[in-house]
Amino acid sequence: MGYLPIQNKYMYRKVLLFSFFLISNLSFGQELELFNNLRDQTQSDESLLPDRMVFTQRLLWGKKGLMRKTKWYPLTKEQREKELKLRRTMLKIHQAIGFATLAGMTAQGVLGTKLYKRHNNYYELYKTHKTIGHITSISYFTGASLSLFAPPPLTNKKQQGLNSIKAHKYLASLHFSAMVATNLLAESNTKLHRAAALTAFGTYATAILVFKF
Amino acid sequence: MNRQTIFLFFLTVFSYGQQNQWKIDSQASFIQYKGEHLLHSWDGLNEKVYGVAIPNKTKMGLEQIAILVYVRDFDSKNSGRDAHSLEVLEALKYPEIRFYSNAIEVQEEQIILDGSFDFHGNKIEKEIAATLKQKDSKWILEGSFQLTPTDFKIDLPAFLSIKMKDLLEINYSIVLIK
Repeated sequence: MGYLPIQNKYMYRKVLLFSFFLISNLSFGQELELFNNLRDQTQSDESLLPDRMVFTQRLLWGKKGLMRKTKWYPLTKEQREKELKLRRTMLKIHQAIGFATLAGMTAQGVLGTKLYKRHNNYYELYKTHKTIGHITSISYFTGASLSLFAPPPLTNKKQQGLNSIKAHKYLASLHFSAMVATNLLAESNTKLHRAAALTAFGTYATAILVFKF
Repeated sequence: MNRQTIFLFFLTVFSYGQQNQWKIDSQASFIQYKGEHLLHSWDGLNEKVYGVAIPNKTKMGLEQIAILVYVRDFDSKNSGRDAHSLEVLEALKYPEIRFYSNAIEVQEEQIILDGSFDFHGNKIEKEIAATLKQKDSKWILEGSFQLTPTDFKIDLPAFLSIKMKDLLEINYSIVLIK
């Protein structure tokens, strides 16, 4: 007779524990099951590379890009996560260098105008103009390379109409050409050099102004 | 005891499996966020909202609701900004934003959802009050609320070294089909 109440006590505890376990598991399990069912019914975009990318990015980071062929950067989800972090760092430096380049261009504009007007201390000014010119060019092309060779974004949707990023890209092709011309014409044709430099400065400044993150 | 518990288990699982579900009309629903920076503001729209709701068996109302959206489906009409958002939100690691509630109160034209947001790998409890419109076989839940990105351990993006405002305004319209 004394054995039964003890057994009942254990059973009661077992049932209580099991019920608690069951209820807590079911409520969490229900949430999990609902989302699992939803995932089964939906199609999420899991592509690792965008359909469209700049040719320089495709060359390095495309499906058959140099980085993939060398097998240093295999096209996997984990690797793309790292690449996107690298991209963010590169674009942050691109942004910082961009402002430094703009400062250099502004200084060059002032010096160049003085040179064009045959200001006193012509030779000194010419030397300074040349030095700042070299620094600005290095800074400009470094900044451009950081953008052109950065790993591609996850997505690059085609959008109708003009927006800030499109304007930034269109202006980039203009100031890139103007910057190359400015350097090529530096010694051979001062008039065209000046025109190219002013075009580079104008389009570059506008590209920064229109840009929004 | 074993027979009883096995019976109880199957009864519960079976009754859950039999629960009637209302589906979210993905075509008619949307979730929109509004972000702000010192220099400008913008918004992004997601028109692919997935979800289900389980109606209450005993009284008018809902027992549970589960809503799922993918961060990739937000469109701010600026591909650069969307790409940047996916990097900030670590979309490959955390592709989903989920909301789940099993504490739902219906008060005539209002519905209060006490649930949790799972976003960027972090879960936050939140109470949301929505207006409720009942049309034929549809329930339309509308409203707005605010989310703080840093609560979800999101590193705020910056422009000109100025970070965006640590607040997102969310507007939504969820259409449930019975």
